[in-house]
Amino acid sequence: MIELRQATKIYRKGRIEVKAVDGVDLKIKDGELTVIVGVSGSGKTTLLNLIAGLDTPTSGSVLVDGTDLTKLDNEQLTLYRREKIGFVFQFFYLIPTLTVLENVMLPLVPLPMSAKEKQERAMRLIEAVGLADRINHLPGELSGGEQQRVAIARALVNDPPILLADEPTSDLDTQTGDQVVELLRRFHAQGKTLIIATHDERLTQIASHLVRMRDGKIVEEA
Amino acid sequence: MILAYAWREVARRKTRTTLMVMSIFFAIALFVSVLAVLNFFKEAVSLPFKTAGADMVVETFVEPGPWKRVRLARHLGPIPLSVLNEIKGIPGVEDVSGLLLFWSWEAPRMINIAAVDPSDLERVSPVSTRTALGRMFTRLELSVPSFEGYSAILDKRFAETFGLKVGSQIELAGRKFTVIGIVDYTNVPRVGQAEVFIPLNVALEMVRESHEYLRGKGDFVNMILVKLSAGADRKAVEGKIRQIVANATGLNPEKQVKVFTSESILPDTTGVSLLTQQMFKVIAILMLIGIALLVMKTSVAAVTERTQEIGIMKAVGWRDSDIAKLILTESAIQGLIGGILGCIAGYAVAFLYAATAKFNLPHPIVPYSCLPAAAPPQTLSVAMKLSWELIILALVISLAMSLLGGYLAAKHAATMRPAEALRRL
Repeated sequence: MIELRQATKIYRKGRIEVKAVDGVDLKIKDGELTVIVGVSGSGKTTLLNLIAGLDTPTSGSVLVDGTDLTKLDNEQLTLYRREKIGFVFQFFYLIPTLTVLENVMLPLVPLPMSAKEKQERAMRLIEAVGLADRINHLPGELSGGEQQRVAIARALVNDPPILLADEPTSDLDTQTGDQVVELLRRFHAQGKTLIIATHDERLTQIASHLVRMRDGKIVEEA
Repeated sequence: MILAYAWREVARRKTRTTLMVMSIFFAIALFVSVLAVLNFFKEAVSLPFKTAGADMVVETFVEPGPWKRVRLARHLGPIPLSVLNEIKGIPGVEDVSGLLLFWSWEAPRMINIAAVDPSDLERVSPVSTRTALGRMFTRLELSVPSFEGYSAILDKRFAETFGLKVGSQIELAGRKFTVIGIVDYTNVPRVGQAEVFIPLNVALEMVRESHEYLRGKGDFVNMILVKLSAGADRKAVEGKIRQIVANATGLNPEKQVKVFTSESILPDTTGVSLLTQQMFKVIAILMLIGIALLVMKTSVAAVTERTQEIGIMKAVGWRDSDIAKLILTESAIQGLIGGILGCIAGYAVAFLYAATAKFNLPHPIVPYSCLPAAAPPQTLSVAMKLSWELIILALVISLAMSLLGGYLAAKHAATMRPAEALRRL
């Protein structure tokens, strides 16, 4: 269970304050497919960052399975991300100097397991996203859809219970976007909690839990 | 796994790696070459002393006596033999030995003779107790020289020049000497070396016969070899020796009493003054410091350049300590590569220099006449040796430089918040 209580995130740029997330109360049950929709700048990405422990709220709290993330230090937040969160970023954020296999293995590098086991886990996911023939390619040699699939494989390689996807279909053509969404749904069907932030209204149709945001606030929940 | 990952990163980021490795390489190459050459200088000039088992050579500088068939070598003045005991009593002096170096005119050449003092022959002496052929003097021969006739030991080059062997006879200033041994000092210059070695007693007879002014002086030598004990205060010992010799000879302790050590002959022998050597060291150290600063700046800049990568790593579960480990491992790899290459290049330069360097020992150390029968090995051609201490020091410095840069970079990386790092993209 993910729970946000009066979560607020304020960014300061000089004297200007921007409330990216403004007093949000939200509960997301385990195994739900939550779609957060809103226009650009509505606070979707910040909300995902708060849930992922990449950012901390200025006020309020974020609880995941009863643990208040605001009470965790950097080290604990990192371990939380390592164990519970898979994050598919809007711009893929693949490391350009690493191959597909190495990018997918990246979260496993510091883990105490054999190199063989790490490689096998990464290979299973690369095969699942249909890129087995591209393992030695660099991100620059892949299409946008392929890069997104690598990012999904990397997000899932730690077998996290929560998968967050930020604008997974933006910058992709409709057909490729649909393939990516289908892939995400396939992993969700394996029992993972899936939270998608998007401005693509079409994705609301797949949601079991819909959250609509505007100006940092939740304006609709269904 | 982090090591493998770090290795791949180092291999992939060629520009950054090349810059870091080359910086360390140049600093270490300069450092190693300067120190290796300076060590080589020291090794080269200490060799003539080491081979004689001595640390100091003491001489007096006087107007040479008149030219006769036999004369004392160069400007070396007589020093009473009793001085040896006084020097032996100085704290820090382990052993003392005296030599009488003189020349005998055996037309058309001047034979260079060293008469050896029977005491301490086995410890401090220009003539080794290990002869290449034949045998060394016995104590009886040294104390009673004519017991079984006169005995002489020859330098191998001299023996070969004149076709002499063990058992051959040689005439020096009208005396017949039987060759009892041959020593091989080919290419090994040493203090107090000569072509022929004879016992001191017979040498004193020979020089006294030729020079009236030497007759009333009692037993004497004209070169003293001093071996110091470990940790001896060299300056203090040198001062006392000067005073003792000056008192015994009536000569000026500063101007006419000469004390040579490997350090004192180094500038004359190598042609590089002590000041210049110090300057070389300072330049090498300044270069190290400059490169260390450059490495630090480059390391921190590299982390800033890798903000995206570090942000992603943190986002996918890398702890600050994991990232620090990666950065430090990369730094260590670069430092080691630069250090190893620097050591190789530094020693290559030093070896090249050593192979071409020719050092001539100063005349007072090898007081041969200008007409020697067999030219002395006066040119120091010493083989450069690898100093593992220097190599380890250089590798430690290169690692320290790169790890210091890596440490600052890791600290900088730890301050990055993952969301901020990703937002900066």
